[in-house]
Amino acid sequence: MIVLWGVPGDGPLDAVRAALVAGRVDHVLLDQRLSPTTTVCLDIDDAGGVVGDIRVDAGPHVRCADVAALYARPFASRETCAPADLARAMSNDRQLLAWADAGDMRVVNRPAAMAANNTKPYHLAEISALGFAVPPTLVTTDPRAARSFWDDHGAVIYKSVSGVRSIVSRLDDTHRGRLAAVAHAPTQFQAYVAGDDVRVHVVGTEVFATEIRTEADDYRYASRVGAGVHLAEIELPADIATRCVEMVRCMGLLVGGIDLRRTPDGDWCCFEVNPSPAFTFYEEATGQPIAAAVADLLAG
Amino acid sequence: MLSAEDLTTPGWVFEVGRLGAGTAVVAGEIVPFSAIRGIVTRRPAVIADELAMISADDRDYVASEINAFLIAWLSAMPCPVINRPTPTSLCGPAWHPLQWAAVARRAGVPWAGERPGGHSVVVCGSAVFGAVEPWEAPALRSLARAAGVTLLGARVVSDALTGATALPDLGVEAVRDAVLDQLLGRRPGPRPGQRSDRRAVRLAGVGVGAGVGVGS
Repeated sequence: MIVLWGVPGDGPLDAVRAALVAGRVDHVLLDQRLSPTTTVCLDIDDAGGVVGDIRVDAGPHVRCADVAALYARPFASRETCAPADLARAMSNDRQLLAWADAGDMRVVNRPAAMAANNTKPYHLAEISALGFAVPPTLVTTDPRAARSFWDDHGAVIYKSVSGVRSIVSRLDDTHRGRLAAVAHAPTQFQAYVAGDDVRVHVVGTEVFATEIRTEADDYRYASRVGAGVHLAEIELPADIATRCVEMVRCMGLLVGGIDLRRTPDGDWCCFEVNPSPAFTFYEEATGQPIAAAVADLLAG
Repeated sequence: MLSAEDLTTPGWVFEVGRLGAGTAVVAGEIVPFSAIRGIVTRRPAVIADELAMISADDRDYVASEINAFLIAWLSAMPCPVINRPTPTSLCGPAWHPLQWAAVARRAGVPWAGERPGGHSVVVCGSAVFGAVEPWEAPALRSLARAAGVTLLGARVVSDALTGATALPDLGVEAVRDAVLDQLLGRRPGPRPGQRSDRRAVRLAGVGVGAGVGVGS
């Protein structure tokens, strides 16, 4: 059995579900909004395996022993239920997250492996250790250090250290007088790397590369600044594709959305690996069959 | 003592992959990373309510930023760090009991569900404190190894562990000495006039902690 856990209406979840339906692959949807009416009863057997079951009132009954693969796209519990139901929803969601980490089924992706993306400088160090160039990055509460870093690199962007409010913006003259504000919290600055954005979706050993052209600093939010975005499928150099697959594997992920930039000199710089990529944005623009690849991966 | 206030004070300079010129703020003072010999972290996270100096609307966000930064910094520091953070906690794994049970049993450590009573055992490096039966010390060491931590506490009821934490109480002097041994790279052993390690230890719950301790 394949289990999909998340909220209907979420693009990637719906797309993978549609691919499973199209392939006539048996699956069960655990609708996270029903968590308050779900009974999760899990335990660990003598060998360390997760046993037990998940019963949704007037809904599916999942026995852990029957689950071969899990596609996990959970939202924060508070976003999926009424405040009165939050305690039960959180308790159930925590158990399901623990199952996603400790269970021996295929999981796209395990929460423990996904968590590194929530601390960008930690994640960058991980990427660098796996062989990709990363942009020079400073985290500081010192306005002088921020100013010095800006002077050294000429063009600099700033973005969140965590995964919260993580929108990339480029420093300009309007920021000169605001740098003193970095004293209030560690703030992350990165040398701007010129070049073309390439999003690489790795699904197991399959690679789907998409080139993105835009005038915006962060193409994900281009519409907010009135910029257009053009996406096109490209083929990666074989060594870069191999390195992408290997990096995702080494991070303990089965699926990853890698943000690369190809510089005018032909070098490749990596910014992050999204462990829960919203790949439908790219699939809809290019026709790349990413959801079908995820469904195939889940089906084994 | 490094407090939450220090994270909102000018002086932190951390470049990814280039620690050489980096500086921290500890107890209000700017300290070069190179002057820090060891770090003991006694809390899983900085919480928004501590950040009284930040406007209320921004506290959740700033707490997220501080925690994300500390995880990167504590992971990168070349000195001993007890315990090293994980991407979800500043002081080692913050696992659900189900995960502790799975890790323990896969490591061959006897584990039972919640039971009342029992006693607490703490492992720090190879030193174990509070063990009563011979199987307990090797079991604790195995669990600490499987969890990837230097410092670990567990509750023992009869013939099995019933709970574990990467944030055990350090109220017993011998445990504190063992932590210091780890920080300073010393061989563990009793100090002159110190009793053996079979002293009762208390197990603190996750969430208790008074700051990030920095020995410099």
